[in-house]
Amino acid sequence: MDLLREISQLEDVIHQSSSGLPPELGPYYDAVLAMKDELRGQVVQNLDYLDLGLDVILPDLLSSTQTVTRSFALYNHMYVRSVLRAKHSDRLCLKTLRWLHSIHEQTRRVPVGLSDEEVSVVPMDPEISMTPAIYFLPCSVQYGLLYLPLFFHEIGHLLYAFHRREMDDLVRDLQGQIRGLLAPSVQRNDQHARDDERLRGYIVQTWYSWTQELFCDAVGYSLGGPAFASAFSMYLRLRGPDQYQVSPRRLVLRTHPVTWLRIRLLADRARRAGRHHDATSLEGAWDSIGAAMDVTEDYYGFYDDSFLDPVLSTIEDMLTETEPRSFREHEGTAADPDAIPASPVYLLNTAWRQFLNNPDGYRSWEERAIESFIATELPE
Amino acid sequence: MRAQWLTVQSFQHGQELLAAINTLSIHLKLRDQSAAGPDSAKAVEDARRKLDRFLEEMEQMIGGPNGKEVNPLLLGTNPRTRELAESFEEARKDRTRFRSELFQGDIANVRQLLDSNVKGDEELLLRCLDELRLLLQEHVQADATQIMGQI
Repeated sequence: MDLLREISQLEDVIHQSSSGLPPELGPYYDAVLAMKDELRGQVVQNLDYLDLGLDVILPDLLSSTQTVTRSFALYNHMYVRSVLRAKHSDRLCLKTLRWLHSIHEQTRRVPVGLSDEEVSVVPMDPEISMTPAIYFLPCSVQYGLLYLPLFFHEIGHLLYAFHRREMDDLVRDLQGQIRGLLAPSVQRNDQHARDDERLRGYIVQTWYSWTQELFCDAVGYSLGGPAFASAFSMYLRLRGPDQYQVSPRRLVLRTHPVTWLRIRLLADRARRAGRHHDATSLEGAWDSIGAAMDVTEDYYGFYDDSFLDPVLSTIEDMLTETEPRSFREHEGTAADPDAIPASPVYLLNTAWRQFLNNPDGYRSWEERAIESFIATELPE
Repeated sequence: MRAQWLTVQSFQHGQELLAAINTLSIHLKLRDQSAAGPDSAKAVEDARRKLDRFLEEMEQMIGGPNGKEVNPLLLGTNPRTRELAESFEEARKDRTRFRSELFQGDIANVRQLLDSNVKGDEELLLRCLDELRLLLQEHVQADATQIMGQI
């Protein structure tokens, strides 16, 4: 009963916040209300069962009540916040995210929400339910254009979720290849050999999430081209030595590859796309900062050049499977910075060129560009 | 950049399985008492299929009671699912808390129990569901703590 009361109380607050929501949040708002109805339905059903007066099902009802209480806690913690914190300035992020979802068949009907935390996404699991996806971005970068390309990485996690079985199969094959590459040429049977074997096991396991992250980087580059590479590099390169090197102990089951390695692979992708200058400048910035910190590139066996071909080949297969939109060359080379943006990709690449060419005049240009972008009807 | 996706998806998956266990367990107990509840036949069937898929996955990762332990190099499997399989394997060694066919017998037999109409099988299945619920609650609780913290 108390849970029902809490759900009703929250429902009132959600309704009160509905006036003045950014229009782009409409589908998310509806989805959040539908989730609330679902939770209420589960509580009411438990109460109906309780009315049967059968002691034998009490342990099940207790577990069921605990389950719905935990679901409500997650709903409260994560899903409602995007509605209650919503403000007019969210339109820039939400419009970009809505466009991003609209151009991919898999995500077209998935509502998007926005919240304030470190860059990440909470994707739904389409095999379980079609709950909305929430994208997170720190407050300071939500109001500008430069770091919006980071969303292009995050949508990769959703595309992965929609193709989970096929993608997991591809990761399994890659992990098998890495295991083969790590195998010792001579088998011994002593403690040292057993320790090595354990480390090889950790390396192979760690590549489960590393592969997904590298795939998402590739999705980011496929969607955003140079704007994604610039945003990614600039966002992370001054965050400290652990972006460049991580101790072997902390590499074990680390969710993300070392960022320097991710930069190497992004530069490789830029070179393959014929953008040699972008690749050199990307790597050059990281090499200079690494040198200034006296940090050398060392992945302690978690990455070796011999992994490169199988990793790249796996990621290509993953891109083929999920079909993210490809960056179009004209989106990165448009001459007129004040032209009406044909896509957010065009706008975000223009923003990076403007910023790099004229950082002093950037803010006033950006304000005009955002205003014009919000007013523009985007083609899908 | 954070990797919340792994934990949230694991949490949601665990919650779905717990809901399926509760639905099926209540259904079997009500049927035994010749009582009817608000759950639809479709909800019960969905619960059976979800549990069957999960047990199939565990069977592939762990095998029978005398089979292999969880393969430390389990490939193409997300870390939380692998940890759940490891907890399952640990539970098999805890004969005080986990005594059902699911943990001391063969997972394949339990999958058959899900669809069995043989008298007596329901009792066996209910014991398995009880213990699986125990295991999953611990796993889901760990996910919940990681996502939402503790007070």
